[in-house]
Order: sequence, then C-alpha cells, then structure tokens
Amino acid sequence: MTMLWKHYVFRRGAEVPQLWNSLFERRPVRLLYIAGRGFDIRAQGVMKSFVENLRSSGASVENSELLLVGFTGYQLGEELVTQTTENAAVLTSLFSTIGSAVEVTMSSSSGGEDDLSASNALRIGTERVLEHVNQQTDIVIDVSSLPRVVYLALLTGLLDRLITNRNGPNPLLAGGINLQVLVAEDPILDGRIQSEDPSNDLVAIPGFSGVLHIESVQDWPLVWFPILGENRRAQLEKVMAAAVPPTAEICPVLPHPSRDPRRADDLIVAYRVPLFDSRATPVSNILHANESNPFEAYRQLLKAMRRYRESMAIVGGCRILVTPLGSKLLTLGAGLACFEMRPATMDENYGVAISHAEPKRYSVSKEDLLAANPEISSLLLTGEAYAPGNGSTT
Amino acid sequence: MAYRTNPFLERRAERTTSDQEFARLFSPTILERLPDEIFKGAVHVFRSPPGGGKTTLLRAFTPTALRAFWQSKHVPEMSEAYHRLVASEILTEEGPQLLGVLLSCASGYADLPPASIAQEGLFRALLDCRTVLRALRSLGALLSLAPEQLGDIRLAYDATARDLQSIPLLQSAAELSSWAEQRERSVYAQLDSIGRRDTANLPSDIRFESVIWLHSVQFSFNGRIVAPRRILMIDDLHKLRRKQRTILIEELTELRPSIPVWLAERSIALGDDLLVQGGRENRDLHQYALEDLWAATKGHHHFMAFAQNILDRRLETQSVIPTGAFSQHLREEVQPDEAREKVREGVAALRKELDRYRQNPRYENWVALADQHAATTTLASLRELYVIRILIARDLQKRQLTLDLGPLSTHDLEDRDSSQTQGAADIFISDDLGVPYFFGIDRLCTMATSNVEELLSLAAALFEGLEAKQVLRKPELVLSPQEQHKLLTEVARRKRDFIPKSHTEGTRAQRLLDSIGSYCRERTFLPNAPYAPGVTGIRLSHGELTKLGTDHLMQYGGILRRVLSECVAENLLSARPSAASTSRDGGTVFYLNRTLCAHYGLPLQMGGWQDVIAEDLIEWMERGRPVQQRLLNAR
Repeated sequence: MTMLWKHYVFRRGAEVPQLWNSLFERRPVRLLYIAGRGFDIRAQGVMKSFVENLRSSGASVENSELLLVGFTGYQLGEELVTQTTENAAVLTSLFSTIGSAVEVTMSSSSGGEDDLSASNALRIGTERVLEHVNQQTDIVIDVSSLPRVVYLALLTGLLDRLITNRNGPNPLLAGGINLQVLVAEDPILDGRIQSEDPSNDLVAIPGFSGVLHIESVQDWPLVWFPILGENRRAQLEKVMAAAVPPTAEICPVLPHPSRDPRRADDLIVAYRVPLFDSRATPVSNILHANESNPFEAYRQLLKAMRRYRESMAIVGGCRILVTPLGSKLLTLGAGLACFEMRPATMDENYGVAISHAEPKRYSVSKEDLLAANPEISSLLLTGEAYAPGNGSTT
Repeated sequence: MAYRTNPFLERRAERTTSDQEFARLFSPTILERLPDEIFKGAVHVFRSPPGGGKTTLLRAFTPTALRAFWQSKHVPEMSEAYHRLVASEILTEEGPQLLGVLLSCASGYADLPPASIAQEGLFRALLDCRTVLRALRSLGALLSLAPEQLGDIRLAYDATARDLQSIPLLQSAAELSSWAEQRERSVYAQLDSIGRRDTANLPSDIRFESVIWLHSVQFSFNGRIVAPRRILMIDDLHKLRRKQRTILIEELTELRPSIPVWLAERSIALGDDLLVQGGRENRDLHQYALEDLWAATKGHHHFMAFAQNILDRRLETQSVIPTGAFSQHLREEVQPDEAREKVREGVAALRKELDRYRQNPRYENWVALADQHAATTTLASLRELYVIRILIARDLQKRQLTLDLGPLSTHDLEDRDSSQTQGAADIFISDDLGVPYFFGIDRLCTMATSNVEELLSLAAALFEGLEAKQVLRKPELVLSPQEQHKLLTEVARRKRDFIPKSHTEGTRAQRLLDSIGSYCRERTFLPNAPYAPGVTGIRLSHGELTKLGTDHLMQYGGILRRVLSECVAENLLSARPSAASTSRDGGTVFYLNRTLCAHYGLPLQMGGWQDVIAEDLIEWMERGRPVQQRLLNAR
C-alpha cells in the first residue's frame, strides 16, 4: 500500500534544534511563519527556540514574515484576554529580529443569525492566510495557539497548494518548499483547558464537507472516526446529533500508548454513554494511536479508511467522517490522513469529511498555563528532505 | 462484543435504526392529533423545541416508513397506526398511496457562498435538484424497486410544467435522476474545493421550480399510474440563514402549491419574531406549534397518553426487565414506613409552630383541629398541618387590611383550602423534610415539558435503576418514590450542570436560569404560599420586551434577547403569551423547564409567575442573583 508519508521526518524535544540546524544550514531562507494570536503561551517557547536556532544555523534570511492569526467570536475571561494581548506582543517582539509581523483576523464561529456561517468564515480566513504564500522557501505553522479547525484548514490548504500532483513522482518534494508544522504539546495542560458553549453549527474544514451534504450520497453508509480527548463530550454529542446516523459504523480513536497508561481507559469511561450505552459501538472497532507520534495516527487512520472504502464499495460507496477531539499531535495525524484520503473528484464512490463543533468559550487558569511543561515537536511535511535519494527517516 | 444498550438512550425516534424499528416505536396517538387541513395544498409550518417530534412526524410519511406500517398491519401493537393511516387514505390494501419527499435543510445551504443574489439563486437550484432526486428515489422505495429499475418509471407532465426553466422534462426517471445527480455534484465540485472556489458558473434558479415539477409530474410504472398523492417535507429550516428561510417560506407560499408542503423548524422565542420570520398566516400558509397539538383541548392528558405509549413501546424493545406498562415499575405512593421518621419530625415542628396561636381566640378551632391531625403521624395529617399553617399566615396578612376579628370555624378552613394549597403543602413538606416529591408516572411525564427527548432521558435514568435492581436480584422490580425522586433529581442536576457545555450561550443561560430558579423559590416558599402551589416562571411585559430591541440597554438587550431565544429554542424555558388586562400590559411568560424545576425544588404545575424587568434579568444573566437566605437554609 502506498502512502505519501510512508517515510517521514518527525523530531521531538532536543532533536528539533538539530533538525533546524541541518535544515537551514548556510542557505538562503524566505520564510512565512504562521502562528496564532491566542492565549496559549506555549507559542512563545516555540518561536524563541526557532528564531535562535535559525540565526545560529548560518542561514541567510532574505525575507521573513510573521503572520499572526487572530480570532473573533470567542468569549474569554479577562485574564485570558490580557494573556492573549501579552502573548501577541511577545511573539512580535521575538520575531522582530528576523522579520516583520502582520495580523490576519479570522472568525471560526458564527456570532449570530445574520453573520457568515462558521464554515464560510473559516474558508474566508484560510484564503486570506494562503494569499501570503508566494515565493517562500520555508513555511512554518506553529499550531500551539491555534484552534484545531483553523490549523486543520491551514494544514490541508497549504498541502493542497504545495502538492500539485499527489500521484506524480516525488509529490512531497513540492518544488523544494519546506512545510513544517511545529507543536508545543503538553497533554496534561490540554486536558485542563475547558471548552464550553459549543456552537450549534458544525464547522466544516474547507474541502471536507461535500460528502455530508450531497443528496445523492446520503444513502451511503457512514463510517465515523471520533478521535477522543478529555472534556469534549458535549462537542462529540453535537456532532453525533447533527451528522452521525444510528446506522453509522463508529471507530473511536484512543491515545495509546500514552504518558498516562490509563488515559485510554479513562476516555472509554468518559464517553460510555454516547458511544457505548446509546450506540452499542463494538469495542473491537476501537483504534489505538500513539499520543506522541502523529504519523502513527495518520497510518492507523489511513489504513482503516482504506479498508472501509474497499469493503463498502460492494454497497455502492461510503462516507467517512472524522471528528478531531484529541490532542494536537493526533489531530495533525488525522488531518494528514484526511488530506491523502480525499478523492480527487466528486465522481468517486466515497468521500471524506471533517466536522467539529467549535466551542465559543475557553477557560484555563494562568497558573496551569505557566506550569505547563511542553515538548516541542516538528513535522516536516514537504521539501528537499523528500527529494529522491534523501531517504527520510522517522 | 457490544455493550447492551439502554433503549431510552437512543433519544430521537427519527434516528432509530430501521424503518421497521421506527414503525414499532412510533406512537400512533401522534396521528390522531393531526388536523385534516395539513393534507391540503398549502404551506404548513411545524414548530417545536428540539426533541419535540418534528422529524418523527415527517419521517412517518416517508415511503419506507409507510411500507413498514403497511407490512406490519397484522402485528397487534402496530395495527393501530395502520388503521389510522388507512382512515386517512394514505395506506390502502394495495400499499402506500402517498409519496412523501423528505429533505433536510441541514445539508450545507447555510454554507453557500455569501454573495447575496447569487446565493439565493444557487440555494433554489440546489433545493430543486435535490427535491427531484429525492422524489425519484422515494418513488423507487415506495414501489420497492431496485435502483436499476428506476428506468422503468415513465414520467408525463401536465400543462403547468410548460413554465419550468431549469428542470428538464425528461420522460425517464433514470435520466432525470442522473441529471439531478450530476447537477448537484458539479456544484459541490466547486463549493467543496480546498482552495479558492470558482463561483462564477454555478447554476441559479429564479424560483423553487421543484414544487411545480412535483405537482405537475405524473408517474407510471408498468402502464399503471402510481403515487397520485405527494407531500414535500422540508425539515430543519432553522439551519438556514435568516434570508434563506424567509425566501423559502415566502416564495413557496406565493407559488400557492396544490400539494401540501410541510416545513419543520425549531420554535422561535419571542412572539413577533415568529411572524417576521415565518410570514403571516393566510389560506396558503398555516403554522402549528407541536406542543399545542399534543396539549390542545384535553390539556396535559394528551401528552400523558402519548408519553406513556412511547415509554411502553421502548420497554418492549429490551429483555432485561419484564415488558408491559412502564408505569407498573414506578410505585405511586410513599408507604407509611418509608416516611415515618420524617413525618414525626415534621409534625413535632409544626405543632411547636402552631402553639404560638393557641392563645389566639381567632384560631382556637383551627389549632384544635391541628391537634387532632397531629395525633396520627401520617403523611396526610402532616399535609393538613401545613395547610393550616399556610392559611393562618394568609389570614394574618389579610387581617392587617380588615377589621374582621371573630373566631374562625373549621368550615372556614375547608372553604379556604384548595387543591393549590394542598399542592403547596406537598412541596413544602418535600423541601423541609426531604419527603420524595418527584415520582410517579404523572410527574415523570410532566417533568418532560411536552418533549419526547426529555421524557426519554428521564426514563433512561429510571431504566438504569431498574436494571441495577435486576442485576442485584431484588425480588420486586419496582422503584420506590424515594428511588425515583433521587434518580430524577440527579438527571435534573446533570441537565443544569451540562448547560454551559451544550449550549452556545450556555454560561449566561445557566446563570440566568439559576437566578430565575432562586427567585421562584423565594416567592414559592413564602409562609402564606401566595401563589400556591408555587411560582415557576417570570413574565416580561410587551414594554420590557420592546426594550430588548432598542439601545436603551446598550448591547445587553441584544444579548438577553439571544439568551432567552436560545433557552426557549432549547426547551430550557417555555414561552407562553400572557394577555393584557385592565391593570397590566400583555407580555410573555417564561416558565422554567419542568425538569429544571425539579433541580430547583419547585412544584411542577405551570401556574404562578412574577413580573420582572429586563434590567433585573440582565443583572442575573451577567452576574447571577445573590442566593437568598431562605434558599440557603432550605438546601
């Protein structure tokens, strides 16, 4: 079975600066750095480390732009609003040694009846960000302080822009443009960030909604992959109510192995009522993916999707729905699998959708934020590393 | 291995697995309540809060469900539905005669590109091709045809079809189906692109032609005319943008359809909005609130019968506990042994309190009667003591305004007693002594607030309790009042706690509802129980409601309006119009959801309410209402 990221470049912790050193070493760099103008201070650590290493690598920075993506439509407490402003100032200041900053505002949830729908707002915001992609040699997205719908839209949008022919030779070479995703992840902090007031309108990632809406495919069976994480039951139930019929085949994805070996069990208990008491989901359907390796989630999910596509072909086709509620790394893995699985045309006998009920309110204590102990990970998704002869490694 | 499921947890009947299963769970009492006019050519709009039965109603008229009803005509528990459908000539001996075409507005219309005119044309075009496609597929289902047999259906058109501009007048159902499929897919090839969308060449219709097509087309199969009657059913209108919803209702009404067009959406909260968004009622546009259909003429009893029927049918689908009537598993009375200690405690406290009036000649007869009641420590006698206490408190208050000082007889007591006062005594007893109040099939159904989804979530908790008894091999599979009260108030607590997690304005809504709950408690538990059995709602006059739409309250008016609307739409509050009188302006009463009443320890009757002003509600919504001392003591 072929896979785009059969070989991949993924580094964690102390290996990340080494990757940057070898990636930027004594070459010209035209950089677009995309980060969230959010409250999560983990983005500061990522940028600080990145800028320091870029400067020490001997790269000649010809052009460098920081795109700070701000959001409207969220209700944050005063402390988090202040934190967001401070965070933006620090990020701009850190980046000022290598380039200038631009802010782009996008709304990821609908504020009222007459507003844009949440999905349209996301599409427009994503297009605004993608307009900044031009002659860069390197594009970096730091997803640490971006909402998941936003970074999934940006990730798939950028991959679509860079990988012009998925079936051609060396698709991941992408004209030599290095697309790198950075994550500062601390699953314990993620579990403590409370999300409330989920929107009633599901948000669809651009390019991943058609199969849920096209009338002629509504009779195809639906296979649902909810990627489970802590404190997201209300969001899961919103998606279930809106898009998952009782005939759906449900394949929950659980983080295992995990830093906390009981995490997967605890999640099964937390989601007992919606997934097992009311839907009789067979436990044999559960997929396990290493919480620390997004490419494992990608492989697990892609293989499962392909198996379902093949077995459902006999009944005419199938609809695949992914709902990312887990950690950032698992979500990224799911995003890659969906990107690869997405059919090139509407005439295929299957389709892939990503639906999410985005919360309008986040809350977390400043103490928890400051006490976080994130580990930086880097996923290098395209570029010279994937040129023939450059055997990419895990 | 699969876990065993709780039959009450699969909330919505429309999402049950098979049509056969749906037919089995469908309560035929729903059909009894439908007015005849809904089968006549016009636009009919059905509204209810979520879980109120809209989609269940629509699904019952789809071909596969009708076939399931028809095939089950000899199954005893389903023959009732069959006979009701035969009476309406929807089913005959030959099979279903009605072609119900069901579409949902949750299919991405709200996400169409936001350029106004083009969006409207594209909206019409998409709805048109989907209607054609669904109609042909539904026809195939009605005739039990395999997809490849669709080509055997021939189409002919009457004169009204001549004006059709976008739908081709093809004579083969297979070809027309293929046209509709291709049209929709070509639209989505653009709309669902990852990168920038090219919207220049998307189709655009100038009116909803599929309605004209559906009444002008004649279907024949093997030389026989089939499906002469049709209904177009469009669900989830609330998923459309406001403009889309308006043009859909207005333009469909203007077309004056000769077939029934059923539209279903969530209730909209505040009086006038309904007309603004729905268009004015006339002979081509009819509007129905489903709660009113269930409750009409015979009041609450219709929902009771309907609810019990649903519960009994759900119970039949499982094998853990014996099937039959759900109510047989719920004990209706508190047994003397269960409450003896609490009653004794209550009687002692009441006697002590009434001792204060022993020397007052005006109440000597009443106190003497109280002594008689106190001699028997039963729940009934305790209730009488509470009634006496309430009536003395009322009389004391009244005496300040009159000069009537004569002694009161026991006849005076009887005259002043009423079922409302008895009701107040019951909730006082529960609140003071912890005697169960929320139990029995009647109160279970009342707590559901005329909402099926809510009924099922309450019943699911009771079922779990029964299941536990079965696992523990308890000799009697019946829940005591205490057990029911505990399980139901636990559901109520979870419902209240879950509000911020499950509603868009949930945090504000929770603060507002908690404040209304505490305010209602304060008014309910006044010693003279002035609004017996209690206060469970607040009222905003027209003047106050108008303030919400002006700048008078700055941005908070709009926020409160949104929060109230969402609470009504989500069944957390029930809005009821309140007529004007000589002393007060008309307005809207917002009653607390009855399950939430259980959380706040309030009675379940929809009776008393109190006037409030918008500023108070804003304060409550933003900061909450300080908890009153009485509430703290009572909790």
